[in-house]
This record gives sequence, structure tokens and C-alpha cells, in this order.
Amino acid sequence: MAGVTVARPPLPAVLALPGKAFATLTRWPVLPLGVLTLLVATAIFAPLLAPHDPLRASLAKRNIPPAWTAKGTWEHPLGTDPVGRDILSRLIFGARVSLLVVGISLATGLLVGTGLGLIAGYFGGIVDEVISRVVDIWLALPFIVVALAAVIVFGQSFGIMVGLLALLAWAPFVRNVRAEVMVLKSRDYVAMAKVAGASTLRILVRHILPGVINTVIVIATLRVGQLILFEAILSFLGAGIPPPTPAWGVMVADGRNYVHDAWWVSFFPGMAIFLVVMSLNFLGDWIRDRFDPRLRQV
Amino acid sequence: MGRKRAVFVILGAVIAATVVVLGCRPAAPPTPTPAPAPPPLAVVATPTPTPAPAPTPPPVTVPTGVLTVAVPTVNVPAGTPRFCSAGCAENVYMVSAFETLFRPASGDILGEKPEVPLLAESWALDSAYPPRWLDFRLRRGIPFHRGYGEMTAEDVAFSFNDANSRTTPESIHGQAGDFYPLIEKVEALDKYTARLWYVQYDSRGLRHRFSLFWQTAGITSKKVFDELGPERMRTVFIGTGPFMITEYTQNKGIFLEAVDNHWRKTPAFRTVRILEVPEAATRRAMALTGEADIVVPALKDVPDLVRAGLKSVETGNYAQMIIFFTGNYWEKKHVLTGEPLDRKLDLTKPWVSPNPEDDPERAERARKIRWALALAIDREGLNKAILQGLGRPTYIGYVSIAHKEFQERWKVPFDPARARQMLREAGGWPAGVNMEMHCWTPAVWSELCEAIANVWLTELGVKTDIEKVAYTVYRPGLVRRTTSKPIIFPGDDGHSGFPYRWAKGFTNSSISSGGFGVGMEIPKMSELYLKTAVELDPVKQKQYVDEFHDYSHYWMLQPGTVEFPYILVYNPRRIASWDLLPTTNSNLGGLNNLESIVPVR
Amino acid sequence: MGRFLLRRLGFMVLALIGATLLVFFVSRVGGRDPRYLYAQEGGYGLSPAMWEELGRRLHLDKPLVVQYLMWLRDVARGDLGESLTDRRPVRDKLGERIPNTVRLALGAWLFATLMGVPLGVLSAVKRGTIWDYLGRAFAMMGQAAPPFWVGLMAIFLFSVKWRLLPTGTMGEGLAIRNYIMPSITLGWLAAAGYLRLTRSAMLEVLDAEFIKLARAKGVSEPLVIWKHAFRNALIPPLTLSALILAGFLAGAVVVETVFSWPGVGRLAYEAVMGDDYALITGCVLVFTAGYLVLNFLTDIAYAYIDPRVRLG
Repeated sequence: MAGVTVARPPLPAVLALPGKAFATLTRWPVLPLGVLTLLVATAIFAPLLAPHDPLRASLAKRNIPPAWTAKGTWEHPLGTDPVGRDILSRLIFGARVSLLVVGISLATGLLVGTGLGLIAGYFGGIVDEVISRVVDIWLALPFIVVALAAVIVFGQSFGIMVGLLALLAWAPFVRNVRAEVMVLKSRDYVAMAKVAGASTLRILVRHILPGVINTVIVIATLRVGQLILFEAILSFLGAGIPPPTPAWGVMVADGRNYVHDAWWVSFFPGMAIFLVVMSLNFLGDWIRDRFDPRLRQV
Repeated sequence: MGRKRAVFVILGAVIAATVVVLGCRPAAPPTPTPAPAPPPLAVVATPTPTPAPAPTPPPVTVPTGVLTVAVPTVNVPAGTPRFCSAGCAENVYMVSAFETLFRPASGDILGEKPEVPLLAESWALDSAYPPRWLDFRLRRGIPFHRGYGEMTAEDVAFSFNDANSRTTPESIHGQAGDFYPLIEKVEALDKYTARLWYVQYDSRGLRHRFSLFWQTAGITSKKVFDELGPERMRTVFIGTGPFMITEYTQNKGIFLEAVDNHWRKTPAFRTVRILEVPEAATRRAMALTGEADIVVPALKDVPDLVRAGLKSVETGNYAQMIIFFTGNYWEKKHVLTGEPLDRKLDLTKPWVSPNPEDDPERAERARKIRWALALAIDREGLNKAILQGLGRPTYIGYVSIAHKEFQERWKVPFDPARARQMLREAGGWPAGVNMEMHCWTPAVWSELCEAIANVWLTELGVKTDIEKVAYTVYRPGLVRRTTSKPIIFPGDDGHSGFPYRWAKGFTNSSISSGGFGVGMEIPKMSELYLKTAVELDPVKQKQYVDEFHDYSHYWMLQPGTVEFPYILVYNPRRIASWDLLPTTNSNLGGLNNLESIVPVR
Repeated sequence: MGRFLLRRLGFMVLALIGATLLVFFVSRVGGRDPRYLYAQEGGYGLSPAMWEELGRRLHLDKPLVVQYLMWLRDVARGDLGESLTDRRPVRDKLGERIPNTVRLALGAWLFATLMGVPLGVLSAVKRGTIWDYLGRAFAMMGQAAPPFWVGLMAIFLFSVKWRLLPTGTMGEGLAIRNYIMPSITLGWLAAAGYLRLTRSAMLEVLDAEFIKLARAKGVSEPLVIWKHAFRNALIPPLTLSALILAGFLAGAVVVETVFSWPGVGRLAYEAVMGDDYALITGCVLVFTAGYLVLNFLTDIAYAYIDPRVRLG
């Protein structure tokens, strides 16, 4: 009869296994957490893990391919770069650099953004208008072009990179925290606190802030991946942390002219960026789904 | 339902529009002003006997076929000399569309033979001392492209005056600034004699500013300028060369067409396409597949290409990568005008010396530090590893081991032990200060920089901050004489092809103040430059230059690292022979004399 | 609706002014005098007379604010100044390159639409199966993979190793082969966005009452999917298109650099590296204006579709 789905013959149980494994893997963020734990561990224990000094170059050892290829050696498991530095060691220390840069800039952006969002949402009126307009204008700017121009003017350094990424990070916090605050401030317990004579600061910190934390966490995890990606892009374009500090984006750029005969120079750092960002995005989605599905957009 | 249909209609329309837009041909590039069909060229037999050998009547050939060349960059074009900036200025004669007054003799990289007359057939120098003028007597009966008439002294005068920033202040011609201190103006004495009035005579002579060997002004037609004005002349390229430019588009290419019955040499190929292909890997692929007949390869690809059966040829010039220890501003007064100079000596930088006359002890300390850094450079190793052994080591800037006049005593060995000792003698590297270096970004230089920085770190314990960002941001520091950050690049004079006796040190001196410099102003170098520039006796010239290099060697202000050649690669199955003339220009890989190519038929 | 759109228009103008103001002042920070960039190789450089003249021509003798206002006035007249590198009008240089970026963006959009939307539908319809997970994996990868790395690896595989596609540039005429890798590299992120949006929209729709009604009436499954569900699910991704195109502008800088594409993204990159502040400002203007116009179109689209906005 129409409308009744005819039952399909059951598949052999074995074929269902990948699907089941997949289902399990996608319900719990096992892989992403694994990758991220590995990342943090690598960053912390970098000096112990790296087989060589990431800064030590040797003219005689340029462009050695990975260990499993014909001309490779296990002394340099992932090969060497055009200046003769061990790629695995640079990858490991690069993790440290990436985490530091992203961590600091995220923290800064988070603090500033949340603060502004609280103010805008709570006080409303002209303050809100001004802050919101500034955020909108900021988001309209072509960030990459402006970032490059800023590096040209202010120079290349670790601090500049952190500053730029913080500028990238702050805007989403403002918007979402503001929206959240506007909902929260009309709640009963806030009204009661006002009646009881609590100061504005006290209300903000003790009553509103806790309600906002969820949102902040979700936004943070959703944005970390983007920050890592941007750091890599800026480094690739030549505006990143200056050499010889190993940064993954710079490592990909180093291999750009050797795509033909030394593909590994670009491949491994790019792969690292890819895996980390993917894990972060996955984790971010999962956290959002768990804690605040309202934030679901794409 | 209507709205949903609308949505579909919009979507469909957008996709259709996409396909249409993608299918549109890009706008046709600006074509040169359509000219009347050129009148049949009258081959004028030169009636007057000339001191230079008359050109052998070109064999009657009909050009056929297409030659394809792949180069990394094609710069911004302009047909008007005043707009033809660096890159364009040399390209026009390197591709043989314009011609120059003189050209080098085949294979004469060391400049031992006199320049061969080209558009000029002879020259004469004022007998006064120092000479005030230089006359060029021009060849007769040389036609411009597209019927713009015969080349005369008026055209030569125009070509130089329009390019010279002294006579045309708004000129951005590649040599605008170089002509300024040299040429007052060029005037036509009569139809075939052009007189150049010197601001300051320069003994570097014809090879320096009037030959294809280095940077000069290609000769174009004044009539075009009169007819079209400077703006419209931008897209019209009228020269006297064996090839005509049919299209010249930045980031795309230069397209040439052979001139039939050329006065000097009719090319064998009808069309030449010089394409911009920025990626070295692509150029390499094009060479191997035969898609391009000539390519400018990355240095590291040359051995592979030669192994694959391609032929390599070089211009003979090697560009020197010199470390300029900027910040050494020793001059207090402008050498020519006597005006006091306002320079800040940043003595916190260990490589910066005060003027040795002011503070000999401190100057000596910095000298030892510079020596230590220079001793810790493995030039042979760098050459082998980074230049595939195709380059040569360079010890001090502006002189090459290829020069016959090179002295053994100028060699700087790779001696880390001695370097460490000198560092100790100087009191050690000061704590809290890092070495700094500005590097050019193209791949090979960036590796060179990092390799050198690495040796300094491992052998001397000195950490280097490498800056790779935008040379154009660093450069004003050189111009203003405010930078103390060393840079590694050839500078203006770091070319092995420059004859040994040429006056050196213009950019190491306050003479060039207000313009480009290499970040140092050294009184002795100023003095020697000025003496050599007006010296007519070659023996004395050599003496001064020897003194210059001894001084530079002692104070180690600009140690060399390696010098690298300009190599072109061509397909021997299409090209039988090519007389690539010696040149110090690096544009388009140094290619020139395309009309001499003999094809395999 | 008119008032709403007017407000958005006003905001656009404000944003443009804000953006250019920022870039204008950043380029003058630290007393950077653009005249030093005019000093050429060789010679004595600019004579004091020329220095003054250049200063007057570039209005450097006036206070910064006045300089900015004069620049605004020039822009309103269509004059974006001269590029430092070759003294050609910035407007001309931009005009040459914008069509190339537009082409690239359209290529990427085609890829994103043709891959993202059908895969999104598939993912929704076959929810929970391997197809769903493959689709979502494709989306995840697109959102995580660094575009420059994808581009380089693609060049390595398809150009260098297998010699299937050219390594870069736009080619002559309409060289489809040259469009393939850049479009995919640029469009992958957008495809991911389309996929996820279409998927969630489809899922919502498939649950809707009228679908259940159609099924109960006996309409065949394919018809249910394509005729009824799909059309409704298409609306959110469509309205997102403008924003996606705006996102391409940013991505273009990287993709054009990797593939040597002669577009406005690469022009901006070269301008920054060459410290050509006139060109930089012009590029920022173009990028911001493009972004704002596309945002504006999105607002119109939303207003049209959502009556609440229209009347509000």
C-alpha cells in the first residue's frame, strides 16, 4: 500500500559495524579530545619529545625526505626542511607556539568582548548603539588585508600576532553576550536585586555573568579553530611570527617553492593544522549541542 | 506558491548569469595605436665612410615560427620614457624592441674589448679636463617601427631627456635617478650628432650608461611623443629593433613580432611570446614538456633540466649577496656641499663603529665583531648547498674572484675558531642585543639568510632576528640614512660583471644623500669614489680601487657571502644557437639578443 | 520596509567611512612619509624643490584630517589616487583585476552550490547512514583545512605529479582547467556551509506537517523530497549566498596568491608588501564595499522572505 515503507532485507552484521563505530565516534568526541590532548601534551613536553633542536640547521642535511622513503633516515622521521632543520622537532615546538599565541589572544579577546557585551546589553541605549555599530563596522573590514597592513606598519613579532588575533576574536563575544544579557536582565531575580539596592557592578558580576558563561564557553570553543587557521594564514602570507621560531603556517610557506621535490616540508605542518582545527570544530559543535543548542546556526 | 517559484527563478537566473559571465572573454588588452601600414623600408646605403665597421648586409630571411619564453615577472609597461620605470626601462631593449647606443662584444664579460657601436657609430669626448661633454655620432638610415621615420639625434636627445629626472622632474624612468647626477641634458647638434652635457664626468664610460650591458635609455621616437603626448604614448612602443612589441601587459607577457628586412639583423622567428609564469615549478614543467623554448629556471632546477637534455647559457654576470653592516654613518659633512649631516649613530648595535678618528678604540671593537661575523660564514658550503655549486664564494663586496685584479689577501676563510677569538678580543657579544638582518623574500635568499643566522648561532652563540617583510618598508631607512639594521643584497654595485676599475662607493657615501644608499657613509670611500670617477688614466683608476678594497677589507663593512649567476635554459631541439650577450641586467633572466637565435630547421 | 532598508544603507556608508579612516590613519602612523617611497635607485634622490612639490601634490602639508577629507572628496569623484609603483590610477588597476576575482568567486560559488546543496539533501534524506556521515565529514574538512595548504597539495598532486592541471594563473581566454583547483580551494568552505544549512533545513522540513500529509496521501518518496521538501529547504541557503560571496573576498587573498591568479586579492597582497598605500586604501575600499553591498542584498532577501522584518 502506498505510504508504507517496504522493509529492506537486513544487511550482514559486519557491514553495519563501520556505521555503528561511526555513530559512536560521532556521539562522543573521542577522536577530537584525543587529538587535542595530544596537542597540549606535545606543547608542554616539547623539549622532552623533540628529537632535535628545532632551530639547528645544517647545510649538509637539506631536504631529506621522510624516514619511510628511499633516501630517508629514522634520524629525521619526517624529513628536514630546505635549511636542514628537523621537521618533526619543529612540528612539536610549533605546537607550543600555536597554543601560546592562540591561548593568549583568545583570553584577551574573550575578556574584552565579554566585558563590552555585558556593558552593551545591560545599559542599552546609546552605549549599546555605539558598541554595536563599532562591532558591525569591524566585521565589515577585510581582516586579512588590514592585518597585513598592520604588520607592515608595526613590524612582525609574537606580540603583534597575539594582538591581531585578539582583535579577530573579540567581536563574536560582544554580539552573543549582549544578546544573552538582554534576555537575562529582564529576569525576576535581577529585578529583585535592583530593588534590594545592589550596585550595578554587583548585579553584573553576581547575577548576570554566571548566566553568560555558558555562551562564552561555547563561542570560545567554536572560535579557537578559526584563530589557529588565521594565524596560519597570516604566517603563510609572510606576516607571521618571525623566523627562526617554528610556527606551522610559516613551515607550510617554507615548503612552497619545493612542492615539486620536497613535498613533505609543506605537507606535515599543514596536516597538523588541519587535524587540530577539525578537532576543535568538532568539539565546539558538540559542546554547543550539549549546552546551548539555541546558538546553532551553521 | 508564487514566492517559491520566484526563488527558483532567481536561482536559475543567477546560475545562468554565472555561466554567461564566466564565458565572457576578458576585455582585450590595450593595443598600440593602429598605425598606417608601414611604407616599404628603403634600405639606405651609408654614403659617408664611418670609423666603425659597416654592418654586414643581413642575409635575406623570412621570419617564421613562434618562440615561447617563460619568465618569472613582467613588469609594468610604458612606452613613454618618463613612465617606463625600473624593469620596463631595461626590458624594452633586452627584448630587442628598442636599441641602445652601444652594445657589448660577444662573450666580453670582463669588458676587455671596447663597446661595439650600435645606434651610435662613433663617439668623441671633450678634451678639457674634466670633460664637459660627450658626443655621439649616429648611424644613418635607421628606421623606426611602423613608419615613424628615420632615427636622428633629436630622438636620442628626447629619449634621454624624457627619462632624466633633471630634465623631466616627474620622470620615474628606471634610470631617472641615475642620470640626474650625470647628465645635464642631451641636445642635437645636427641631424646625426647628439651632444651629452655632463653634470659630473664619470669615467665608467660607455659600458656604464650607454650600453645594453647595463642600464641605459632605449631609443624611441620623438615624433610619437609629439603626436600622442605622454599619456597616450604609454601604450605605444616604437623602437628601431629587430622586433616590434605588439602587446606588453603586466603580469601577462610581452609579445613581439619580427621586423622584416631589419637594418641590422632580421630575426629567424616571426613571433616571440614572453610569458609571465611566476611559479618556478611551472616554468620547469614547461621546459621539460617543450611548451616553452626558453625558460628562466630557479637555480635549483638547473642541474635537473640540463640532465634532461636542455642547454644552459648564462649572461656571465654573478650578483653578489653582500651583508651591509648599516648604521656606520661616519661622515659629518656632506662631501660635496659641506652641509652638516644629521646622523644618529646607534652604538648599542655591536656592528656599528663610530668614526675611527673620533673613537679609535670603540671603532676597533666593532670592527673585530664584524670580522668575527664575516669569518663565521661557510661560503663554500653555502654555494654547494643552496646554489647547487653553480655560484661562487664572495669575500668582500664589489669585487669577485672572477676579476683578474682580485687579490688573494682579500679572501676571508671560514674559521669559526678565529671568529670566536676575535669576538673575545672585542669583549664578547653584548648581552641582551641580537644580531639583526633584513632578508629578501625570494626563496633562495631566505634560505641563505637562515643558514647564515644558524651558523652564527651555533658557532658564535649569536642569535639573529631576521626580518623578511616588505623591502619597500625597509628601504626608506636606507634613503634617510636612519637604519642600523644590516641587509643582505647586492646593493647597487654588487655585480661581478662590473669592470674592476669602475668607480665604487657612490652608495657608501653622503654624495648620494637624499637618494638610495647602502646604509653607511664612509669618508674614505667618498674620497676614493670622487677620485676614480674623474680619473682618465686606467693605471691610477686601478690604484684607487685597490685602495678601496683594502680599506673595505680591513674594516669589514660589507663582507660577501656568495654570488649567483643568471642562467637561462633552452631547448636544443628548437634552438641551434644563441649569442647571449654579456649583461649585468637581471630582467627577464638576463635574456637579450633574441634576434641572434638560429633555429633548428 | 523602506525605512529598514534606508537604515541599512546609512549604516553601509558609515562602515565605509570607518574602514577607510582606519586604513588611512594606519598608513600614516609613526610619521611615515610616503615621499620616501618615491626616492629612486641611483642619483641624489629628490631635490628639495621636488620634495616640496611632491608634498604639495600629496597634500602632505595639511593636517591629517584635512588630508582624509580631501581624499574622500576625490573618491566621491571617482579618483582613487595613483599607485606608487607605476603612477597609474588606482581605479584602473582595480578595474583590471576585479573581473578576475569575480570570475574566481563565481567559479567557487558554482562548486559550493553544486556540491554543497545536493550533498546536504542527501545527508538529510539518508540521515544516520554512512552517506550522512560522509557528507558531514566533507563539511568538517572544508571548515578545517587551511586553504593555502589545500591549494599547495592540490598543485603538487594534480599539476606536478600527475600533470593533469596547470599550476596556476588564469590562462588565456576561458581556460576551464585553470579554474578547477582555485575554485575548489576557495569554495570548499562555502560548500561546507551550504551542506550543513541545507541539511538542517531539509531535516526540519521533512518533519513538517505538510510532508506527513503528502506521504499519507500516497505521494511517492522522490516526489516528496524534491517537489515539496527541497523547495522549502532551499530558502535559507539561498539567502546565505550573499554572505558566502562576501566571505570569498577574504579567502581570495590566499587562494589568488597560491595560484598566481591576477585578481584583486593578490593585488591587495602585493600592495601591502609594496607599501603602496594608495593602492592599499583602494583595495580596502573595494573589499569593504563589496562585503557591505552583499550584506545589504542579504538584508533585502530576508526582508522579502520574512514578513516580520518587512513590517518592522
